[in-house]
Amino acid sequence: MGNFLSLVSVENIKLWKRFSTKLMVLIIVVVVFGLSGLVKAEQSIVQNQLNGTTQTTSQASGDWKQQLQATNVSLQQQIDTEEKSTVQREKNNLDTLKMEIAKNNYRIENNMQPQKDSGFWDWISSFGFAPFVALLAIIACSGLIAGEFSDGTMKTMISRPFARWQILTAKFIVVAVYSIILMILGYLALLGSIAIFFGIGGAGSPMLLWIGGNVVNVPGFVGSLITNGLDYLFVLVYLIFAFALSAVSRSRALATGLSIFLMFGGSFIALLAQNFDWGKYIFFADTSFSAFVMSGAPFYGITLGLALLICAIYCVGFIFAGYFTFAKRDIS
Amino acid sequence: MPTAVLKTANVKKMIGKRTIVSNISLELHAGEIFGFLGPNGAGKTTTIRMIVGLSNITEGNIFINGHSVRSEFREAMRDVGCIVENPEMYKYMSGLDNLKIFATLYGNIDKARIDEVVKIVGLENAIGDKVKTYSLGMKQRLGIAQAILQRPKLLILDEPTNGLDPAGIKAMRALLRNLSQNEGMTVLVSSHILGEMQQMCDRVGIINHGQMVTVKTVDELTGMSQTSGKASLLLRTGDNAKSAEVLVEAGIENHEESDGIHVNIAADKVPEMVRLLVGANADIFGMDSMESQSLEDVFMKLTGEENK
Ligand SMILES: Nc1ncnc2c1ncn2[C@@H]1O[C@H](COP(=O)(O)OP(=O)(O)OP(=O)(O)O)[C@@H](O)[C@H]1O
Ligand SMILES: [Mg+2]
Repeated sequence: MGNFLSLVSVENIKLWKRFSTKLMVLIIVVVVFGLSGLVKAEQSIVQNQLNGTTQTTSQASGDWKQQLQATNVSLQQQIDTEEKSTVQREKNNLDTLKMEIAKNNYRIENNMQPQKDSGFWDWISSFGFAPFVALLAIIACSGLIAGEFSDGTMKTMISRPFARWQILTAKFIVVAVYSIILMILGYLALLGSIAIFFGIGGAGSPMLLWIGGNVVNVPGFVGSLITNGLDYLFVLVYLIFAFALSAVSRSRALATGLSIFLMFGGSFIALLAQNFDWGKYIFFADTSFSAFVMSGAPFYGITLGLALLICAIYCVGFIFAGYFTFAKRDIS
Repeated sequence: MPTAVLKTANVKKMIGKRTIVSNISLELHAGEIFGFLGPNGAGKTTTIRMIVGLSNITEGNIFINGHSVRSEFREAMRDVGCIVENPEMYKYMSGLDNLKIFATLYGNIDKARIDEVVKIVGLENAIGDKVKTYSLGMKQRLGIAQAILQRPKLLILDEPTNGLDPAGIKAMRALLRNLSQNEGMTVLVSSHILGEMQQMCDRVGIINHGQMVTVKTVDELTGMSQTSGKASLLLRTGDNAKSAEVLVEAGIENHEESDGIHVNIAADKVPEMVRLLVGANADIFGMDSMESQSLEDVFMKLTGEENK
């Protein structure tokens, strides 16, 4: 019957013929540059104040290993007390503490002195522009799916030689590709803006990631790809949520609004959820995937693998609900 | 017998506990124009929505060229072009871009065919403009263009004359005739005005309160309006008031209206009436048969609206 690739290309045309689609590409670049500029401005203000008051104490280069060892001893004490606690809340930074110790040991063993300034790749990894990508992708997704219901054009699409699941799939592919494009553009813009505002100091240095309870030493570039890749999975989770909600509710406002609310409210709700053992089963408490490898699990009882698994299960549920209602219900 | 282009077999639609239409059984054959008639709320759009897959079929089944809409949806839709209620297009795109994306969906439609349909519906001048700038009639024309683009075997138009000016209505009738005669297209066209259908349709199905009342050829329906042996005439004379008086004196049922005198008379009494008027020195400027009017009477009778 109808060629599926033609359907995908039609959905792609529909997406890109919208003015907002092109505008959002520009927005992501402007946002990334604007935010780095702001960070830079803030940093120079803080720097000026510091220069005016205290002089930074420079460390003698030999004793950094002893310092790290001393730090590790106190970190270990903290771990020991926390592990005895029965209150979930008090154990939440255990993974972070363990990571600190492991990283310090790694540095001592491999003779890697901690940098005083964040290196180039640390900036690229921890900048966190993904929520903006998710925001724009959610807007595009709701427009392409729920928007077709509100505009009434969905009925013009249905009586064609395609199954309804194909139409929905084509839309998802197009929106997913769009979100990847936004993510890559954001990443490139970030490389450019950090280089411009902060220079490329440390671009040659490696990155220590915390993966599966081990310190993994990767080239900075590779590390930034891993963290931004995990950030993309964050985008994907909320995109899938918006996708399913668009298909189920058929309301552009609801799909956009609720997805964005959960995403931005997610970190707040996560703070509450962290106090409970079951908190991790709420998907939006688990979505800060890149934090796991950079600063340890955000709360007790969760690992990156478990977080990904929980989110994947939710996503499968969302997708199923979206396809089911889209295929079954009358189109008006 | 060849397979019907459209066959609905005992189709029923329920929404919640409410039965909207039931027992709809129709068969449309290649090249015919079928008028689907019924008053507001009769169930025309509901039936059409099931045919084109917008709405689930509660009971029964629908076949397009032998393909079940339930189980072979894609094959069935390959042969259908339609407008259901208002044609909704992508407003942020030009008319041409709209046609291009629909053409892409079928894969075998070239630029020449797109230009051809644009010309057929008379949108050459506006086709490059954004659809949001279109008037209702222009949207309707674009809707017809996208419906016939892929040369469907079955064309379904739900109240297509909605929003068209008289010239547009006339052009559309000619277009549908042409499509059925020259391209062998089968057309299902819904309306609630019988007069609009009679010149164009081969057969007419009348639906009311969700049930098919009757399916008849237009000739049969016209025959029904004449079997009574009565003629409905519109008479225009030099002095209508005086002529009406003459008719009343002769016991001929009539009433004077702004457009002339409406006369109801036994068909065989017409010559007598004319002689009477001539004898009374009335200047007769015109005498028209109000055929469509009486067809509407048949329609009203069949749909039972008359008794209300
Ligand atoms: N989604 C729905 N829920 C409940 N009732 C509905 C729904 N859609 C249609 N109906 C009812 O079904 C009946 C038939 O509606 P339909 O739109 O098929 O009529 P129609 O023949 O197309 O009328 P019109 O000439 O006004 O377009 C109406 O009484 C309407 O109220
Ligand atoms: Mg209708």
